Formats: sequence, structure tokens, C-alpha cells
Amino acid sequence: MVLRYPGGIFLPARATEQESVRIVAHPHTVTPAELEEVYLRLDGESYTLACREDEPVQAGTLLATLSDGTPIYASIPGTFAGVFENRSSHYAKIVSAGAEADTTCLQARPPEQNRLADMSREELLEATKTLGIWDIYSGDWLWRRVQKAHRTETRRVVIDLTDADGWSLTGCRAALRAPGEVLNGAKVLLQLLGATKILLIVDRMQRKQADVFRALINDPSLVVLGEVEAKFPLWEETLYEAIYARRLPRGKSAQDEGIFIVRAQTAEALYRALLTGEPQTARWLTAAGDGFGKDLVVKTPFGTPWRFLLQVCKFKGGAYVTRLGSPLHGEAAEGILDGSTECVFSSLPVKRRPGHCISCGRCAEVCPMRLQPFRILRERNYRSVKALASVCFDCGCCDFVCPAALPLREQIVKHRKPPANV
Amino acid sequence: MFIRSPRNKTALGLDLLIALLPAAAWGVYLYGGRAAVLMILCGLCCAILDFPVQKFICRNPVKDALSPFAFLTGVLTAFWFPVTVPLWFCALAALPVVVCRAFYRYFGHRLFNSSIFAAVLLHLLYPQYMGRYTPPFAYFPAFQIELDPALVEYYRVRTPLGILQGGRLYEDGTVPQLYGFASGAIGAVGVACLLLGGVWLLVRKLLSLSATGSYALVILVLSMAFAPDDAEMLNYAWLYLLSGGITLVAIFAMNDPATLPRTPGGKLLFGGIAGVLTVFFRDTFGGEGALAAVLVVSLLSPLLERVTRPLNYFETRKKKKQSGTLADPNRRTT
Repeated sequence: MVLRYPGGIFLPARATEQESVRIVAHPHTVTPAELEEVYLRLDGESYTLACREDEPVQAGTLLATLSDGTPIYASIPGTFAGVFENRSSHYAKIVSAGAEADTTCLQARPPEQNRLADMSREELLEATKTLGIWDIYSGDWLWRRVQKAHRTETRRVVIDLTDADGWSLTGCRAALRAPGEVLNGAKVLLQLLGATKILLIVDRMQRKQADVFRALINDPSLVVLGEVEAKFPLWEETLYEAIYARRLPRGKSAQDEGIFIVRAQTAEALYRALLTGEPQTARWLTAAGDGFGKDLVVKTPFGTPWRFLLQVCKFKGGAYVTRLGSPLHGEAAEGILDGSTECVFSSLPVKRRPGHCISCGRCAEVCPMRLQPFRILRERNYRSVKALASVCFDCGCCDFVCPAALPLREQIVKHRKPPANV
Repeated sequence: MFIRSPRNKTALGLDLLIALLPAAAWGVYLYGGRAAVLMILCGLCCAILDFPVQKFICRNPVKDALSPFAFLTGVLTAFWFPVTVPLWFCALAALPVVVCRAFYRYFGHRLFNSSIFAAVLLHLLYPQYMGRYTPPFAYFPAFQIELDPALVEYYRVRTPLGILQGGRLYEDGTVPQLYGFASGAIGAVGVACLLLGGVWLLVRKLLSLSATGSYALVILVLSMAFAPDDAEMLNYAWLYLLSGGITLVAIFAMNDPATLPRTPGGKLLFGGIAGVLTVFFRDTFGGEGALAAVLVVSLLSPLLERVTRPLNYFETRKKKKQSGTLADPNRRTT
């Protein structure tokens, strides 16, 4: 069965075969302006330090071992700045570059504790928390999202194996790298959330993935494979529509409707961490585009500075620019790598010389939200413009197809209400 | 933003040119060099007259003022000419085309389809020239500005549409004849070639099946309904559909982006109303009703677009207020 949804565009495909690289360590320099301090709580008062003060540490570097043998790993890279006592608890302090920091303490668990079948929901949640599994879909720790999901009933776990970002193919590659792990991770999530069914969403054009999973699935009542049109954007709203052939109600997320969506990589990391008992400190990242010497798949520790990552990918610099997330929109790669992006694109920016609208209506055809972006150009009705801008979720499809090269997305964003806290 | 669809305006113009080529070539094959001269001259006149208007009156930069679409519209206008029209018709036809284009730049919506507007004006102003159709392969001198009226009168024939409207079915009457060897306007006779261009437009997603399809379907159904008693219904409808300029209108005028509504429902209505009007004008006033029909329906186009605005992702159709909720307090409202 092929899942379809209206709107969206077919982006030009990128090569599927890419070289993979693993970043093990990087030269880390901290400038005073970027200083950020992170404290890792050392539970229990007796511990053995595993690294010296002022020593640079990676995400995942062993910091200390507690008296019961539990190793404590650094959750972000930086410089280890010693142990501090505060209210009779001990904290390891890491000084790091960049803004992203979290005080969650990563602890490895002995593998024999992780007998998945015997673990209760609470134990699984606790393990997910201490193993520091990162959810790329929401850009947050997975345990936090699961905790939120426990407030509502979850019926389906949807594993998104598609090329959600247009060029990256990150999800597809995760599926080929470790299909068993992805499937088992999904089953863990199923147990964790009390859901009844797993839905694997595969790109229709990537036949290999579908075949691999079809061979793996031995329980069709539990796991269902859905092939989806290889269109961009395949985000929460469109994915929901593709699966259920109905629209998400306004103000509701897929989670409110009982659908828990995760990327393949998260499921893979969850299962692997539970199996080995080692926390997740790195994840896969795709670098694609003409601006790089070659397309790469990089296993990157959390918190790696972009400038180092770009060096690894042989970023050409000059007129080339980088974008995180998708080639149609997204932000420049600056600061440190955070958890919400799976890919970085680089290319020369498109030169646009806007002409006149020829009223071809292609922008309305491709809009996944059924908007009419051309109305932004001449509409004088303030309310309808605001309504248009509030529904638009910034995928940039109208920008992509406009034959007159009009900056439609820019215009729509300009009319958007500022966020409430500004 | 890194990538843009390679299909910019120039590419669209090229697609349109490719779609026009088979019909134009067929016109030249049937009517000789004069047809080619008319088409190219008309295109050039439009392009040359269009540039200063766009540059100085509409204040467009040079790059935008030099649009390939002016030339293509000119060629499309010449499609409606019989081969016997004087060459100065080309300059005359350029005027309404340019006015339409300028109007579009000012108001964001084209009042009429430019080429159809020009053809209708010429039909109204010079019926004596626009009605002189000659049979295929009767070649006339290519560069003679005005043809000898006696010579033209000698060759003059009635078009299949004229014969059909004269109350008789087309005598030599077989359908294959209509696939390109009939007499008529330069671009409108080669039905098969026009369809070939249509297929190209369809492949390139420039042809809206809903507009073209509903237009053709409505005409087919209505002509069957209003077929004369002695005619076989389907045969008559088939002749009705293929004679005159209906194919040309269905493929090019129905898909002119400037006048076609941009909503799916609007496209459907646009084609449907144009079909009804075509049959109405043809059967009431005689002549090629499709031209007038397109003019009228393109005036309605902004209205159709507004009426058929699709609901966005989060909108739901407003339900009518149920009466009696006040009277019955126990009624459960969900």
C-alpha cells in the first residue's frame, strides 16, 4: 500500500552511497565568550575520578566511577573543571563552548541489568533516562517525551525511515545499517508507551529498505510496513495525513491523537544502548551538497562544534553556505551540533531575480497546507493574510516551484505574528 | 535556499513553443509560406510593440520587459487567421495583445485571453477578411501585403463548421478529413497536431486536465443533446467537437495561466461554463462561438477563483446552525 498526501514536491535526488566516518576526538578550543558551565551530579559521595582537572573531554568520556562501579560519562564535550560540593551533593563541572548544555548525568548500566523482556515500564523509562537517549524528532531527551506521552493514550509507534529532510537519506541509511536494531528499538518503545502497533514508514523509491524490513517482520499483526510517496515535506501534519487520510485537528499534535513518531536513528540508539548498557553520546549526521569535498555520513559526538565538523567534511568555504535541516529552509551551521538536526547541506545560494507573478498557481498546487501563497502578493485583506501566515509551516515548497522566482516564503514569514514572549 | 525548480519562466515559454510547433508546422504545410510569414510577423509585431509598453508605461526592468510570451502570444493569435488576410493584420492584432498584457501587469489579472481578444476584435472589425477560408494546398504569394480579392474569391470555400451550421453534415464527411486536411484558420485545422502539442503540455504539467476535460466533455454532451433529428448523435457530436477552433481553445486558451483560475474547482467550473457558452453562442448566433465564450468566461475567472477557494489544512466547512436547539434543552450537542 502506498501512502499519499496532497501537496509537496519531489526534490532532486542525492547519491545514496556515501562514505561514513566516525569522529572520535576533536581538538577543542574554548574562547571566553562562549563559556558555559555544566555540572554533572555524582550520586553517592564516594567516587574515583577518571580524568584530571582542565583536561578536555568528549561527550561520552568517562569522568568518574562511583563506589558501586557505575561509570559517569560527560554528556557534552568541553573541559573538565573539577568536582564541587553543593548541599551535600557532588557535581562534576564541565566548561563547554556553545549554548547547549544539560545537567543530566549519563550513567552506564551493566548489561545484565538490561534484560529487556523482564523490564517494567518504569525501569525502561529510568534506563532511557540514565542512558541519555536523544530524540531527534523533537530535539529533546527521549525520556521527557515519553513522560509527556504517558499523559495521553498512545496507540501507534511510527518509525519514520524516510528522507524527511529532502537530501539527506539519513533515515533510509539507518534502516539499512541496522534494520534489526531499529525494529527492536520500536518494540521497546511499544512496551514503553503501551501502544498496540508499530508502523514503519519507508520511502517508496527506496526499494531496498522495504525489502529488508519485509523479510524481518514476522508478526504482521504487530508491525506494519507503510510505503510513502517520496515527497518533501514529510512532517508531522503531512505524515499523519499520509497514514490516516485525514487531517490533524488544529492545535493538536500527532501525540494528542495517540501517534508517537520517532526517527529511525532514535529507535536504533535506544535498543543499542539498552543492549550494551552504554549511554548514547554520539549519533549519525549526514553532510550533503556541492559545498563539501564529498558527501559524508559522520558518527558525531553530541556537542561537537560545527567548525570542526565542517573541517572533517572538507567544507569548501567561500561563497558556499551551509544549512541545517533542509535545503529549502533552515539555519546556518553555527555554534555546536544540537540534537534536533540530522543533516547539514551545503551549496551555493540560489540567485533569484524576482519577476512578475504569471499566476500559474503552482505554489497553491504544491502547498501541503492547501494554502494559496500567491495571495500574499496582492491580498489587501489583513485578516486573511494573517490567517495564511499562521497556517504556513515554512516548508518552502512554494519558493522552490515559483517560475517567477518570487520570495513567497519570505513574504509570508514577514506577516507572521511575533512569538508571544517577545 | 539552495535549490530551485529548474522550470523558470523561460523554460515554460520554451515548453509552450514546443507545444505550438506541430500545429504551426502543419499550418505551413497546408497553406504554404504565407502562413509562416503571418505567424512570425505577428509574433514579432507583438514582441516589438510589447517592449516599449512594458518598459516605459509599466516601468518594468529590461529583462522582464523582454518576455518570450509576447512573441508566443502573437504566434497564437496568428493561429486564428485565415491564410488570406493581409499582412498588416499582424500589426493590428498586436495592439489588443499588448493592451491585454499591460492590463495584466497593472491589475494582476488579465481581463481577457490576449490572443482570443485580438481574434475576436478582428472578427468584429473585419468580418470580410476573417471569413475568407481557402482549401488546403492552394498556396498564395508569401510576401504580398494584400491578396487580389478576385483570386481569393475564386478559391473561397466553406469550412466544416460552416457546412455543419448550414444544416448539413460535413459531406466528404469522414472524420479522418477533420484530422488536418480541412479548410480553416492556419493553426486550428491540424487537430491531430494540436493534440500532440496538448500531450506535450500534459507531460510538462502545463495542461490542466480538469479545465480542458470539462470543456470538451460539456461540449460533447450538449452537442449530442442538441443534435439535429436526422443526424446520428455521436457522429454529429464528434464533428461538432473537431470542427472550428474548439481544439485550439481547449488546449491553449483553456490553459492560459493568466485567465485560468488557480483553484481546482475553479478550473473545473471554468471549463464547464466555457463549454456551455460555446454551444450556446454557436447554436444561437452561428460562427465560432468558442472565441466569445472564452472572453466571457475569462471575465468570470476572478469570481470563480474566489468562490472555489479551497479550505486550508486546518479549516473545516462551517456547519449550518441547527434550528431547534433552544427549544429542546435536552438535546445533546457534540
